[in-house]
Amino acid sequence: MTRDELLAARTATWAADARGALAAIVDAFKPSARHLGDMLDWFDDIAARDGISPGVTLDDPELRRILAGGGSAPERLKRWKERLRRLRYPRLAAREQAIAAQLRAMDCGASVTIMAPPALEGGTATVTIRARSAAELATALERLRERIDRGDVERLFALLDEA
Amino acid sequence: MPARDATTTFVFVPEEILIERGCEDTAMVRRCRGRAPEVPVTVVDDPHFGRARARFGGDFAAAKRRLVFARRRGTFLEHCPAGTRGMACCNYLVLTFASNCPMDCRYCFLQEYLADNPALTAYVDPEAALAEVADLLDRHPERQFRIGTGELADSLALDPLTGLSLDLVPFFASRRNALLELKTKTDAVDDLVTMDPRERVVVSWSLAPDGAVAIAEHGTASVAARLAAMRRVVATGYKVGVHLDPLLEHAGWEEGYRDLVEAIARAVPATRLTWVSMGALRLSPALRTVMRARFPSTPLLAGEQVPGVDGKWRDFQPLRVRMYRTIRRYVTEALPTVPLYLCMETPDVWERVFGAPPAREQALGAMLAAR
Repeated sequence: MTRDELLAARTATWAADARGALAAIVDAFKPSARHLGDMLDWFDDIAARDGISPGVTLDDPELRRILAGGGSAPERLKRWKERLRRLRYPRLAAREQAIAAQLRAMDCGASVTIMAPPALEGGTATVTIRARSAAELATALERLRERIDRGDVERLFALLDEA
Repeated sequence: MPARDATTTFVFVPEEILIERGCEDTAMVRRCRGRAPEVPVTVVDDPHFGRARARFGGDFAAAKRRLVFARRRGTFLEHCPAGTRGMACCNYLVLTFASNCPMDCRYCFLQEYLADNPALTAYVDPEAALAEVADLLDRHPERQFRIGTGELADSLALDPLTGLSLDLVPFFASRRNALLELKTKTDAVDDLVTMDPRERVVVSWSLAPDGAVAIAEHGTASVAARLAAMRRVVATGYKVGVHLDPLLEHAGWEEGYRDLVEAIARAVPATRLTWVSMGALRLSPALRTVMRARFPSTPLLAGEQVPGVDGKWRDFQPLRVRMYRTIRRYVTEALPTVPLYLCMETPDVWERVFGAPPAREQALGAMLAAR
C-alpha cells in the first residue's frame, strides 16, 4: 500500500481538521509508508486507550512545536515520531529516560559505552570499552569498578529488571 | 449477543450444520443431530467448502456461527508450537479434533491463523486420531506424554454437540503413559462428569479476572461458571489445571488476579490442581493487523507491547516481569504446593521470575506429566 493509499484508508473516519493536521505533517516530513503506518497505529492505540480523537493527539504542543521548528525534515520527523512514541508508550519511554539519566549520572567516560537493549527486551545491557593501550583499558576498568562499588551499576540493572 | 454477568454460561447453537458428503452417518454427526435436532442441515459435495471465505461473506464471525463436519486431511498429532525461537518449552503435543471456535476472544490467534480457512469445523474421525496417539504411546512406553486438544479450538466448546469427550476420556483412562489435557473457557462438562478419567485426564481452564474477561473474552462462560464447572469435574475425579494466560493488564489487575487466585484456591483442593501456568498476552504482527480491523477500539492493542525474539508483541519486559512476580506471589501464597510455569517465555524472564532458568524441556514436561 502506498503512503497516499494508507492515508486515505486509515483516516477516512477522522474529522476534517485532524485529517488536515496530519496532511501537514506528511507534507512537511514526507514519511515513508512504514513510518506513516507506525504513526497511524499509534494514533489509533492512543484513541483506544485514552478515549480521545487523533485530532486531540495531533494538537499536543510538543508535536506542534517540532512541526513548526527548524531542522531538516528527516531530523524533525525523528524528533516528532519520538514524541508521538512517548505519548503511545508512556511507561516504556519513562523507563528508557530513567535509564538514560542513570547512564549519564554514572559518567563512565568517553571510552565506555553502556547500551540498554532495544525496547528493554531481553534485559541484557551491552558494555563496550574502547582502548588503545593497556593503560587506557586499566583506567576504563577502574572507572567501571568504582561505579559498581558505589551501586550505580546495580541501580542500572534494577531499571532493566522490573517496572 | 446478550449482556454477560457473573452467571453467564456457555451456550452454542449453530445457525446451520454443514456436512461433507459421506460423513452424514458417522457417529459424531448422528450424535450432534440428535442433540440439536432443530438446527438446519445441509450436505455439501465440495470437500474444500470450508475454505471458501465467500461462503461466510468474508466475515470471520459468521464462520463461527455455522458448524461444519468434515474428515480431517492430514495428521492429528503435532508438537506444540510454543517451543520455538528462543522460548522455553514444556514438551507438549497437540491433537486436533476441531478448527476454530464459537467464542470470539479479542486476542485469539485463530482469527489470523485461520483467516483463509475460517469454517468452524469438527473432524468426524476421532478414531483415526486416537489410532495415531495409540501408535505413539505404544512405541514409547517409557515416556510420559502430555497431550492437549485445545490448540486450534477450545477443547469443550463443541462437546455439547459432538460428545467427543465420550470417545477421548475412556481412551486416555485406559493408557498408562499419557495425560490428556482438555483446555477450555466454557462450563460444558455435562458429558465429562459421566465418566471416570482414572487420573489420566486434566481439565484445565483459561482464567482471567472478570474485568479482563469483559474486555477480551466474548462469548465465554463467566469466571464463576468456569469455577463451578471446575468443582463439578473435581468431584467426579478429574484433575484440573489453570492457565492464567494471557495475562491481561487492565485497571485493577493486581486485585483482580489476587481475587481470582484466591477463588481458585477456594474452588479446588490443591491436591487436585495439577499445574498453574502464566503467559503474557502475545500478538503476532499479522494478528495485530487483524485485530485492528475487527476490533479497532479494543484496549488490548493499546498496551505497551513491543516485539520479542520470536517476533510476537508482548508487554515490555520489565512490566511483564512485574506482572509475573506479582501473580506468582499470589499463587505461591494460596497454592504453595502447585507447580507453576511460564508459557512461551524466554529463559531470561524465567530466571527473573523464579530465580532459576527453566528445566530442560524433557524434565519440565516430565515434571508436569507426573502430577
